[in-house]
Amino acid sequence: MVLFIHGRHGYAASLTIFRQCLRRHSSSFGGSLPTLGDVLAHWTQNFRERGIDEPESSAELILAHAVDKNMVHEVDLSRAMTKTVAARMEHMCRRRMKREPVAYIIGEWDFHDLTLHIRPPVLIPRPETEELAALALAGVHACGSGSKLRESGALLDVGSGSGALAVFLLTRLPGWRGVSVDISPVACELTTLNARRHRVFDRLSVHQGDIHLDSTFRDLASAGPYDIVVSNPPYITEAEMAALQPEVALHEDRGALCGGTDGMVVTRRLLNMAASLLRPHTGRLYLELGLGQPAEVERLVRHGLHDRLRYLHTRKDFTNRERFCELAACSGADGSS
Amino acid sequence: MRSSVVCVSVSRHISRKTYSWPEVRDSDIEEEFMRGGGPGGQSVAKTNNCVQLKHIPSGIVVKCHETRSQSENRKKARERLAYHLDILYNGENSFDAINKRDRAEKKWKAGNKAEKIRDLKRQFKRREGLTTKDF
Repeated sequence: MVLFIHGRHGYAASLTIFRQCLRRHSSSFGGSLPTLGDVLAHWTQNFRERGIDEPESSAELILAHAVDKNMVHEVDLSRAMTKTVAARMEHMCRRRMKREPVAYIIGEWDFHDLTLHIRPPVLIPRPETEELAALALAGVHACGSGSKLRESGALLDVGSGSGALAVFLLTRLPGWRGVSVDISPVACELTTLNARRHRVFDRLSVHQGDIHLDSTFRDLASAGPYDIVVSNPPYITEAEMAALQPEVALHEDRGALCGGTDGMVVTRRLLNMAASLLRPHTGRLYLELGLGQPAEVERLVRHGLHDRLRYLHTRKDFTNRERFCELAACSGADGSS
Repeated sequence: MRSSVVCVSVSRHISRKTYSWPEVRDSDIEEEFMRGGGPGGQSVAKTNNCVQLKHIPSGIVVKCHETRSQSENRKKARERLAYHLDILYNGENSFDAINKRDRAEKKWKAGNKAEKIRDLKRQFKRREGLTTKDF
């Protein structure tokens, strides 16, 4: 029998779990110690039987994290189970059985090549938002070779959440400074944590506030003007909120998702503020929105805000659907050009 | 006063970063992701970000699930596709072939070098009248 060195806390509990694990697997695998591969198969099957979404991916990501790796292909599945790994797997997989998102369970997720700390109920960055980040960055680089924009500029991330957009852009634009705002104190903490993790906190000013309030708007405007304003505002409609999968509905921040009846409450406020936040002519606003909303934004801008904002482009996401807006300010808020 | 000759071998240094890879045009590829239908975006929480690229003109299919990030997987899938297109279009002049030849050459030279050192050691022992026991 193999002996293990035990920690001071939770020894009895971990040992019980490990013995359960051995009993569970030994009978099916001829009495020898179970491997990591056995445990992976076991939990994948559990998830499948319970109807958990993405059973293989969930089990793989959790197992990898239990042995301090990112992906299952980095794991030697023929390795024998240990007490530590068994305890970790048990705790994490039980949370997955309750439909908790994997990112919350493992406490991190990747955004481009950056690993970010993730905490409930802050919104977990989606692949679409990775595209928004790339679009905003491409916008900066598209400004002719004579432009000094790439070297220094200012960006604003509205509704920063985990800080994905601000942190990503600041890592790619070393001379830039940034401001982020989020109504949630937990989100602001996480933005700060991730900015520190990626060594850009010295260039990021994190604000906590509600952008619907004039005071918040004034604070943000005074720290401008911004060459880039980027946002993934809550854009789900009330009706859609009712039909969300449990991972999202039960665990992610409703305030980060629901944009009111038509999903555009926050977007409209952003459009009204944008001209006063953006640098005239050269400043760009990039938005990720729900399906059908970019067209609505274009209509709103052309019919109501055309003296202050210029609608530039609608871009498609990787599913080839219209998802992103690019806008510019026509002139300063006071009408100067 | 012994004069010595320094022999420097010049090998072609090939690097992934400086090599000119064949262009992968967006219009030539079909990208597939592991997602169902539905509105996507904020309404979906998905962890499997595997990407599959199909290059229509050549029929080459590349799959990438190397990372947790979809954008990184897309980038790496394109790099892998370019690698295979390079082999297809350039054959023995592809990065893959040149790299393999470079490595084989290095290995052969290293093997030669080891033999030369062994010879030199043997000569030294003979000259000094030493036997292997003395080492």
